[in-house]
Amino acid sequence: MEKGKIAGIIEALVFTAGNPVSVKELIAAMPDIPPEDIRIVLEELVQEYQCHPDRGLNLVEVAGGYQFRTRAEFAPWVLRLNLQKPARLSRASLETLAIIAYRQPVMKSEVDVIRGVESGGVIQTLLEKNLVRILGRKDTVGRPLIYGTTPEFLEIFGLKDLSHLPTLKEIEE
Amino acid sequence: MEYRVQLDLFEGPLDLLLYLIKKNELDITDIPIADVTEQYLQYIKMMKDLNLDIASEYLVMAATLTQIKSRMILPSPEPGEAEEEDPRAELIRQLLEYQKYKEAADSLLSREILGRDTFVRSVPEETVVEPEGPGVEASLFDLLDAFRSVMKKATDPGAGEEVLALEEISHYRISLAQRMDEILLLLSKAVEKYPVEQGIPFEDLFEGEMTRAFIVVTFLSLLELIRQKLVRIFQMELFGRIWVRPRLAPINEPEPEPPAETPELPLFPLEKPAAENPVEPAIAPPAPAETPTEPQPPAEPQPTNEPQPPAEPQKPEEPQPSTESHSSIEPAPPPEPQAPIADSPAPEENSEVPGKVNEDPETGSGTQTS
Repeated sequence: MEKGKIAGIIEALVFTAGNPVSVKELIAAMPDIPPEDIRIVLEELVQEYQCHPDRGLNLVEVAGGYQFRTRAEFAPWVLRLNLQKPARLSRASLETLAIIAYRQPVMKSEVDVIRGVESGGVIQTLLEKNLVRILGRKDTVGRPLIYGTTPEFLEIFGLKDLSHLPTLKEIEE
Repeated sequence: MEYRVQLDLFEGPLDLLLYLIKKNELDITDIPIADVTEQYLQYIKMMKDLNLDIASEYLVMAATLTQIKSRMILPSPEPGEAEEEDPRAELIRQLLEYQKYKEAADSLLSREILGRDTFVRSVPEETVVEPEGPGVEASLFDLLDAFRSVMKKATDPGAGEEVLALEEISHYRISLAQRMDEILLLLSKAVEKYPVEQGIPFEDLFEGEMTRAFIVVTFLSLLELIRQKLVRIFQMELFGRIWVRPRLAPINEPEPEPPAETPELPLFPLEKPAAENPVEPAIAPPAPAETPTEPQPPAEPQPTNEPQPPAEPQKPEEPQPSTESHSSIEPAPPPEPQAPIADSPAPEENSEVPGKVNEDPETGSGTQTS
């Protein structure tokens, strides 16, 4: 099949899915096309969207899949259309989220120590916003809960996976 | 109820210290502890003067700073082994660690954030609150109804053994954490029994001992599991049977501990609600859930970036006296308003709402781009 058509199929699939579509899913949806071709065309598509900054959409790789997202510069208009509420995260939530993201699996007590304040309420908010989840219990005294981030966290911050978190500045002695 | 007004400028004592260090352009690794301590205490005093409830962590830090300061002043006891650690070392390490994550938070914030800078075809909220699986989400009221019917069955005057069970309550100890684990285990096993729904009917959770304590603890555990989003409760049709289903793959196989050898974790005062009046504490919650609907005003300040803490605590008082005056028609109106203010939950309720709102604007200012 010619490349242009493969690209068209990929666009159609990614557009309709809404959620990030993994390469695996794309391959499964196009059984008669060699996976290698799909990967190549996909990469070309990503490049193509990147090269056209006047277009409203970007094809981005996020949370283990591909997704169409609007360009940041058009955010004001999208917001004016008023279909979507702007995301809100307090400073405290953000800090706590960062600690959990980098330190996971992590206990609440560790978060408390790093922040220097009790973090139960903030963690609860993050749980409710589905940015953080309970991974289990630690096998120590009191069997404390341990926390980690969710796929939604990756989606919201546009990360391919946890290894793509911005690197932490190391503490100099 | 714990409620504190936080100076929204600072997230905590470490944040305040970092702020002071930045403001004075100090070297974080060589803090002039005397100066910083003094300034820090000034801020604490200011918070006190503003009548803000100072989180205990601030006071702990004040004590720590003072202690470090005094240790710095003291000459080291034996000049021979002068290689004593800098008294500030631990604090500095803590500050650097905190700063690291503060910066990490900033770098997260500078990314293109979904719902702020970039958007997808489906509303982000949809992915956040995903309607998963079949059926409709059961409401708290459905749950309470179901709980009441379980309780009724257990305390049916026809069954004599329940009275006996009541007496054992004071010795009965099972922690929420324990029961939560048991429920999760039960749910993971239930897959064989109810393959389609992959969950179990609400009533099945209460199989076994039908004591009040057991029922109450089980119910509270279930509420906690729901709160932690570890289970989902749903109905196949409105007002139908309630099903409980695990949300995640069962987490790290808890060893089924026999409830008999108990209290490694004596959690909450479970015995109290169980022994006194088991139905009421469960019925009580809906009351606060209803009231927040009426104090709307605090919700409005949201768009403004300015935090507007206790909006108008006076307003809810107005309706209160009127309802109160029905019952007691005494010719002494002046002292009367005092009472409703004191014991009506309204002002407290109200004070909580702005608290929540308070967080939002602060967020807004941090997160929103114009």
